[in-house]
Amino acid sequence: MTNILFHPAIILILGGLVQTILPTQLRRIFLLALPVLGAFVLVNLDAGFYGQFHVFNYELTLLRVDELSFIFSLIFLIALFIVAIYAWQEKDKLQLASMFVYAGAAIGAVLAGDLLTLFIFWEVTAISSALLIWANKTKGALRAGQRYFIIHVTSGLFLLIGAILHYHSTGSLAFDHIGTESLSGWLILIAFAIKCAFPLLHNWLQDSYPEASVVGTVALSVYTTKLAVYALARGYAGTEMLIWIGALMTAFPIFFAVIENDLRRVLSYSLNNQLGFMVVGIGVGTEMALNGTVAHAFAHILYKALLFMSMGAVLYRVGTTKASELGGLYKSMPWTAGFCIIGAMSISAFPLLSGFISKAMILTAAANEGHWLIWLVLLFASAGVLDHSGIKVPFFSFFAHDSGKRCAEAPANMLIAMGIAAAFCIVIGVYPSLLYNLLPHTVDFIPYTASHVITQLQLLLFSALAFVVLFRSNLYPPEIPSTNLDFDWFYRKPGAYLARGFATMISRGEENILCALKKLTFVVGSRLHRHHGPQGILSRTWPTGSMVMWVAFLLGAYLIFYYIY
Amino acid sequence: MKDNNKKHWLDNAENVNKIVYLLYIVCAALLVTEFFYHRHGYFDFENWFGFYAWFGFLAYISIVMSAKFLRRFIKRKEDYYD
Repeated sequence: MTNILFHPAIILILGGLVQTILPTQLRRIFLLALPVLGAFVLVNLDAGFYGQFHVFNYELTLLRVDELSFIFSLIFLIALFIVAIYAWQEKDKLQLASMFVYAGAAIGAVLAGDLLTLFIFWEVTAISSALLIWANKTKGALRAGQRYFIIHVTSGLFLLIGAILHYHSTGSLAFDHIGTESLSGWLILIAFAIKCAFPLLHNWLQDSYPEASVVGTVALSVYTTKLAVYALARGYAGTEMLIWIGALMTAFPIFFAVIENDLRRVLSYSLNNQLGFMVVGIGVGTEMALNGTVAHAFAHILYKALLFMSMGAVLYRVGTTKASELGGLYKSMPWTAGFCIIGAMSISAFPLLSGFISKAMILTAAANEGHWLIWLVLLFASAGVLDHSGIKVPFFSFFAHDSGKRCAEAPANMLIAMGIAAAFCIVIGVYPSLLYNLLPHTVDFIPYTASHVITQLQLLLFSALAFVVLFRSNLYPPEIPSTNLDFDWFYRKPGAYLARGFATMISRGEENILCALKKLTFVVGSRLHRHHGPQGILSRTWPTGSMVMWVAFLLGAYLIFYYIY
Repeated sequence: MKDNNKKHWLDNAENVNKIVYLLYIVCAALLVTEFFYHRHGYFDFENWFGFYAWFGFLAYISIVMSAKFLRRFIKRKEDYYD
């Protein structure tokens, strides 16, 4: 490869900037063409390393194509194409530019062959995605975007320091398996963990995604966290700790999702829970587990984008995604409701839909390694997914009690985008080999056996039965307008209080110091005035006596020095 | 809009009941299959009768009820952070 323009990421980033000067109609077609062109370039690249060059002593690799980076780049491009259709009517050029730069940078990071290139694209995703959040221009978006930005730039800082230490201990910047044997390994792991929303580092996700625009949230749901999943799969496959962290990630967000009122925030908790399944797969680290993780990321991007698109359409038409204000919308938006149900059934892993053929691989891989407790947690979490994403999201927006809200169906471009995503969910579910053939390792797994299908249906339908029982006996928690405290409370309340207190202390301290300085200058000034002023003792013409005194003093000092040395 | 007063199939409580009864029947049928096939499980406990069925049912109830309980501690007003 001689021309740097033959890089999918560069095409998207430059294209995203160029579109700002194009007239509306041309811009729309241009934006649709960009991911197609990117995919064309990607597919025509043979596996290998491209764009290698030296900066100072560092050997950088701009472009590495192998099975793992190929499939992640491909799904990122497919998702961008769908999002571009969904954003057909978007007029805000800055928002579109940040979206394309963001997607391009995410692909650039996936294709990066070394840690420094990874770091640069990593930071570009942070900046462009923060711009994407701010593009919604609400007060909430501004604040959440600030928190998001600080957290993600911090992640990049960990990555940079880790990369430099890694270079000094190994002499190479190549981004391959890293592991946790060294300090640099830990620092880079922390960088990835922040972006992957590990437990206690997760709140930026639920905080910011629901604050972005209708279009922005869909794009956000695709890239940041899946880039982190890719990076973890590349650098930390088989790190046992990740099995436990991943299992925790599948379990705890579901409780928050159950009682959250804003349905886009419910989907954000659900996204966090889905990442948990992928992290478990990375931790298990066998070929089947890694295949499961990659397949699940691929399927997840599509059904999660589909769910966010359906809730985006509701937000676009009704102006809110608060469950307490919705209900009965299937009457106005039957197509959106239908697509939402396909997404909901995919994420719940119903047979014949995409989630089923990917999640089953991760559970099987965990079971094959004898992780019975982890396996039970994943099964438990699967029942939780059915509740918050499978039932709650479609049920409380489109059915439940009729809110009386009537609106038009979603615009045609949104329906087409949702239709394509839904078609992917079904095609992957019915013909799993299409996806399995793209996976990094040879697939030795048959999803459609009597055991798998029957046990999965038992799990899901008896969970649905539990919902019916709870709902009909009025035990199901009602949707109430509320804020639920999560870990971010610590930095949004006492943290902010401390920071404000610290700032006040500094400004007070500053005043005190200034005051003291003033006093000091006054005192020194008046002393100087007394001794050196017009009446000052030292400003008089010196009499001989004082001259003799100074000479005696100097001689005395000289004598003392003489004895000392 | 145009379908403001149109009566929908789901508006009739009888029809909602039909869906619920269908779910009961399918669930019962799924339990009956336990007698007719041999499960290739990974763990011994998977072979307990209707393991996936009651695990799913109990997991669901425990998740929803404990989340509801959690509300007592973490629920605040909507404008809490403003």
